Amino acid sequence: MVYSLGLRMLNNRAAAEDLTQEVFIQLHSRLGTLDTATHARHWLLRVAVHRAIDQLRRRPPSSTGEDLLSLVDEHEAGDHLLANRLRALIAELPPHPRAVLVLRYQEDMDPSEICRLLNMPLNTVKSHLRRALEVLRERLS
Amino acid sequence: MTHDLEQELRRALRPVDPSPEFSARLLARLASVRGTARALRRPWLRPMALAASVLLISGLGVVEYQQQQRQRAHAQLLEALSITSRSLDRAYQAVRWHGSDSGEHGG
Repeated sequence: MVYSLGLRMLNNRAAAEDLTQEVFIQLHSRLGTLDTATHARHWLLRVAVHRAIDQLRRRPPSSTGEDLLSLVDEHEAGDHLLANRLRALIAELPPHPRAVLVLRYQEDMDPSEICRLLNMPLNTVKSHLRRALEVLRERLS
Repeated sequence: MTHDLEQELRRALRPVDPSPEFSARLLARLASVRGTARALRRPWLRPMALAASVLLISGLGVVEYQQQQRQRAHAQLLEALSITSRSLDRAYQAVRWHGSDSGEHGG
């Protein structure tokens, strides 16, 4: 979950591994304050996504990390080319719409859950989602 | 189209597991962090560590003191032997001198 989110946000395996390690070490120091598995999952996703957004902001736009083609999942079912194209297009989105899209389609979260996780108004989440889908559709066509 | 795109997005963003090597490294790192944290959480270890350090330092001090005492005793013994040797030498010479004197007078 954390690694996958880091990978989809940062498009770089090493960066995703560093992020995962940092998040789990931080989780270790906070274990006493997280009482349920749901709470822990919410905390993990929130910390991971905020760290990923911070990294993307610090990183110059040209450095998208690893070549996206090297992140191809060999066991992937369906249209590999389309999946790769979609991942490349998602990597071009600004950090917040990218995070909203990853949380919606990777973690299968509702917009109301995403707005709580990102501490963002519900309308902003819906707007990011709608706009991101429009951009993807335009670029695919 | 929206439905198709959403389906494709779910497929493209399917969760990926990290490599087993990375998972093993992460678990090892967490175990080491846990070990450090546990040691820090045991405050009774600190006075024990302090006491052990004091004992070690005192022990080293005693050993050094004993070594100095041994060296001093050795030096004193050498000095005493040297004095004894000089005294014996002087006594021997005195005896010889007196012996030669009595020989001269007696002969």
